[in-house]
Amino acid sequence: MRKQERDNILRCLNCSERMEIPLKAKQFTCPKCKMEYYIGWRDGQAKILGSVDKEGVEDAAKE
Amino acid sequence: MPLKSKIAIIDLSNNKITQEPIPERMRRHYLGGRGIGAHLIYNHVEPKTDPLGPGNALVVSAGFLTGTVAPAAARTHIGCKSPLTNGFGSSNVGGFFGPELKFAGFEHLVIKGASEKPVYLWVHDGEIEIRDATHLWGKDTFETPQIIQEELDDEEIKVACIGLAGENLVKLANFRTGPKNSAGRTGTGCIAGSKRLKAIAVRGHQDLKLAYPKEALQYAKQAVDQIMSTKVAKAMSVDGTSFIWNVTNTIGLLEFYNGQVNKFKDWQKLTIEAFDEKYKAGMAGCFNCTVHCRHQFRIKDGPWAGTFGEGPEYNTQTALGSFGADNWETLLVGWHLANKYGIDTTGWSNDVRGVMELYQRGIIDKEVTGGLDLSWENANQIIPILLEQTAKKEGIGAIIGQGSLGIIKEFSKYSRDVEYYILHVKGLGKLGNVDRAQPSFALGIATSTRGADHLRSRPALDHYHLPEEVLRKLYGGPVSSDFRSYEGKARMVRWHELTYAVVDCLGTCKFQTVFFSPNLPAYKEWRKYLRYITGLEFTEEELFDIGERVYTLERMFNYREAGFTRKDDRVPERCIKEPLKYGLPAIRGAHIDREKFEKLLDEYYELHGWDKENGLPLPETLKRLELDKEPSHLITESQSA
Repeated sequence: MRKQERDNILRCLNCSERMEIPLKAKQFTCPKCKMEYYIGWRDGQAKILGSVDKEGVEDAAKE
Repeated sequence: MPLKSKIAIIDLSNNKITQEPIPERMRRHYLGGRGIGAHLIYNHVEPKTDPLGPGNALVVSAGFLTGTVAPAAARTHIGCKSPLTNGFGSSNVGGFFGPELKFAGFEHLVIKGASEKPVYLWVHDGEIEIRDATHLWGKDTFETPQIIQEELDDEEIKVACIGLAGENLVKLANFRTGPKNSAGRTGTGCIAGSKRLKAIAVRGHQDLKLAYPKEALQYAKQAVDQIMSTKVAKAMSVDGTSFIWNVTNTIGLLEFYNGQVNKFKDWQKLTIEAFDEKYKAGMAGCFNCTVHCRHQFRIKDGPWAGTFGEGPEYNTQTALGSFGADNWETLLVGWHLANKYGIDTTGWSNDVRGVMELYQRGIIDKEVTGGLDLSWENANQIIPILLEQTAKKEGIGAIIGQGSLGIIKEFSKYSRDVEYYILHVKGLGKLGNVDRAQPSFALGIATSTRGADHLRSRPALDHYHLPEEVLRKLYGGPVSSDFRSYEGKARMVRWHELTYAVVDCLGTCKFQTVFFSPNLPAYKEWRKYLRYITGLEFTEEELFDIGERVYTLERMFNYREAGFTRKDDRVPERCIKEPLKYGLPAIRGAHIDREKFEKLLDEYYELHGWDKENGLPLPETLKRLELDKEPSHLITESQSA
């Protein structure tokens, strides 16, 4: 149980807040800075795939 | 036992081969691998020699623990005077070549002179033969090992070889030891080509007897358990080193379009998950590795159907994915061709990005490119063409293959701005990491003894949100846990430089050390490996001193050969002048502050015991490290600087 909990914990890449990801969640929003992430799962381990920060990505697309 | 492995001096000019034992003093001062390699390079490369001349030496060094039961003890260091930087050439490679070299009775091969005709070395059970390689000249790096294995009738022979790029003296040429394994950086393949050395084949049956077999095996198992219990080992077992890419791209720490953009708009197409869906064929590992981070891929359809290989890894993704190519197939084909021809993907990608920006800005046009459209939108089409041109020294590829300094020299006639757009440090192109948001990374590439490089010091522990007391304990002083901060980062970079030098001396995989996590093996564990496997006792301080000695000697080689001093410890101007525009809010606007960076350099030199004016070792530092006893002119040169 303890290991599983650890595998569900990620840190927000923007503000470092601890994020507890519900099992199988595909998106998650940081409770502190509200940054929204796409989440993937690697053998039961949560991982950040990308961010839903339209602003950053869309800006880059204009280059 | 490992202590009995030898040094072989091979002079290709007169076919003379001598063998020497490794003196105990050399072992205690430099351990093995990159350390003894650096000592041999310093002493066997003729001062101020032309890198492509017979006075250069190519030194192949297995680590002290390579081939033993120590986890992932698979590494080989290949060094020389670099044709790209004129300074210390150095590249580290995994796979199975180094262990086999040890089983054949050798730890270091010093290859000097130059042959008149193509040759390869056949190293087997204490013997070395120089054999004709005329029939191998022109063969690629996939064919060459097969031909040698067939003619020597042993498919277990391990082969390191160069491809077309090395034969053609392309400065970006690498030396390859396996399907995924390349000693890629600093042009080692070019130096092999200049000596007409096509390959080194090794096979050995000698037993590396352990000093304390029972304890060594027990401890190796314990170390494997320690490694495999970490989150990072689990991530690498599934995603390889590519597990980093999603995180760095999400933050905005990857450079695209030559650093003009720091987040990829079509990121979903280049994730490792997208790769897995269509191309993944399995995972493989290096010698005695339990992590198995090496992807295998197969292209199933289209013009490249049937192509099989090993990779990608983070480096491939970052380097070949930086042109704006929006599909994995382009990256995999580029990777396959770079491997086939024997070209360093990191340096090549950096230099091509720069040339493409020159084209974007109208500094060069189709007349210069030989009719090629080098616009970013055309990335998918031009990567294979440019790789072939580079290997064959044709068209604009002939200029790209000369590396950053060659490109600047050739194209500066068109604009004074060329140097700004070709990103390099000391002549070596950089990986497409964003260094300008991370002072520790910036200092690391600026001061690296082989030019711009993310592996010499890669100080990433300030990305892991560790409590500052953990960092203080590890580094011996205060270090900010904020990767954007300058506080304590000189201390951090120096610690990683010396620590990774020790890792490269031991010959274990960096990815299974403190490189990725403070919970992975470091000094405490290395002492035990050394004791149980070799019978030699080292204190943690002695090991750290060895790292410092190796790093300092490399620094001195750079001064002796290329005149590198503080003025050369720079980051590309773009890192200073252009704040980041994209990525998460935490890093937008970040850039390197020139004044703070200079202060960081002052702190860094002080910690190293180098003078602040020139960044050269002080006489008392050389004395403390016993480098004043090197049979050379270290102190004289340093004092006269």
